Amino acid sequence: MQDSNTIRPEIRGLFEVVKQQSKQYMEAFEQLENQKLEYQHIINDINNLADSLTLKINHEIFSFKQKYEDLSKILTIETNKTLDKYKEIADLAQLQTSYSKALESITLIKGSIEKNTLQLQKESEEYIREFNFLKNNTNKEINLILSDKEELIRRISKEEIAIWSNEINTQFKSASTRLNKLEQSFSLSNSQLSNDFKRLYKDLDNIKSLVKNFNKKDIEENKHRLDSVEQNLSKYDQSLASLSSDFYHFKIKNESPLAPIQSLENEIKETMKPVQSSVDNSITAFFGKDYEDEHKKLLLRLNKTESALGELQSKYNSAQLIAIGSIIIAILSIAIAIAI
Amino acid sequence: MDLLRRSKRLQPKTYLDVLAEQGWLDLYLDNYSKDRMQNDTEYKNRVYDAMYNYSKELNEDVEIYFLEQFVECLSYFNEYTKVCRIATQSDQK
Repeated sequence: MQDSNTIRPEIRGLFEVVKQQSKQYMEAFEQLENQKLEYQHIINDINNLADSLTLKINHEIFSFKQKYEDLSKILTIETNKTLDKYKEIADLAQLQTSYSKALESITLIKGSIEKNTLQLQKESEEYIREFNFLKNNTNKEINLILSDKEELIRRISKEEIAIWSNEINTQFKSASTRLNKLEQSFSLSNSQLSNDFKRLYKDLDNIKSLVKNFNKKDIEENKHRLDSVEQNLSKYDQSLASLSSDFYHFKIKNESPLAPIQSLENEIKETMKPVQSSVDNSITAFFGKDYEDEHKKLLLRLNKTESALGELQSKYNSAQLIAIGSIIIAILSIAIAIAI
Repeated sequence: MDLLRRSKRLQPKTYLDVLAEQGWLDLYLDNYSKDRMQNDTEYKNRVYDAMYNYSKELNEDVEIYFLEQFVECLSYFNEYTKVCRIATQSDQK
């Protein structure tokens, strides 16, 4: 500070002291500023470090968080898997228990089935026994009924055959008597015819002789005679027609009685055939071989009766043939007579 | 600071410097620029600088002015170093 007279020297000395102190303060403040700057640098470095550390820590925390999340996810997945496995194991345990229960029930059912089979076997044996007993009884009863029925059928058939044979015999007898009568009438008519033919021949001879002495009166007489001859011929025709009709009726009557006998025989044979075999077996089992002999005898008798019926039928046929032949001969003789 | 002083010395003298050197400044201020001294601080500083540099007589107003300035500076300094002082006091305790 320059020397000034306006201010007292004490004040100026004070100002000088203050000036020096201020210089010292300046230096101190400068040092402080420097220290401050250094501190600020250090603080900045520390802040940077802190920032970097915080960044690193945040990064690490983030990575840890991500790792933690991943781990938690993995853990949840693994826990779910383990839970599923536990569930499967629990299901398997349930299945095992149900399977064991089913096995127990199967064993129980098997035991009951075995018991039932044994019971069924016993029942079936009893049933077979009962069935055999019933079968034997029914066979016996059936054999008895069959034997009774067979005897009844035999008796009825015998009675029927006897009735029919009697009827046939009577009809045969009546037919034979009628045939005889017809033969007699036929012979009588033949003799009459021969007489008439003789008379005709005589008349024809007379006519031939008269033709030689032919005139009108004689012609008229001859005409009358011819008319009478024609009338006689018409009468012969009528008698021949009546004979043929009689023979036709006789043939029908002779054929009709044989048909029901034959049908009855056939029916008896057909009914007897199935019954006979079963009945024979049962009866032979019951009576033995004695019945077979009796049965053979009966069969022989039946065959005999059948052969007798056949002979009768052949006789009827031969009689028919004779009658037809005689009629044909008569017709031929009439025709020859007319032609002559 | 020296350069500033030197530059000020090299500057031409103002009318205030001349008045202060001749001892007419107090009269000039009382008669012509009393109000300005009260209101214009820059003008006031120029006036007291001129008195301090060029006046040859003791002036109480200048002393008071510079002491007031000094007190202001010290109070500012006290305020500025208050934190340090409190810290040192707490350290001492």
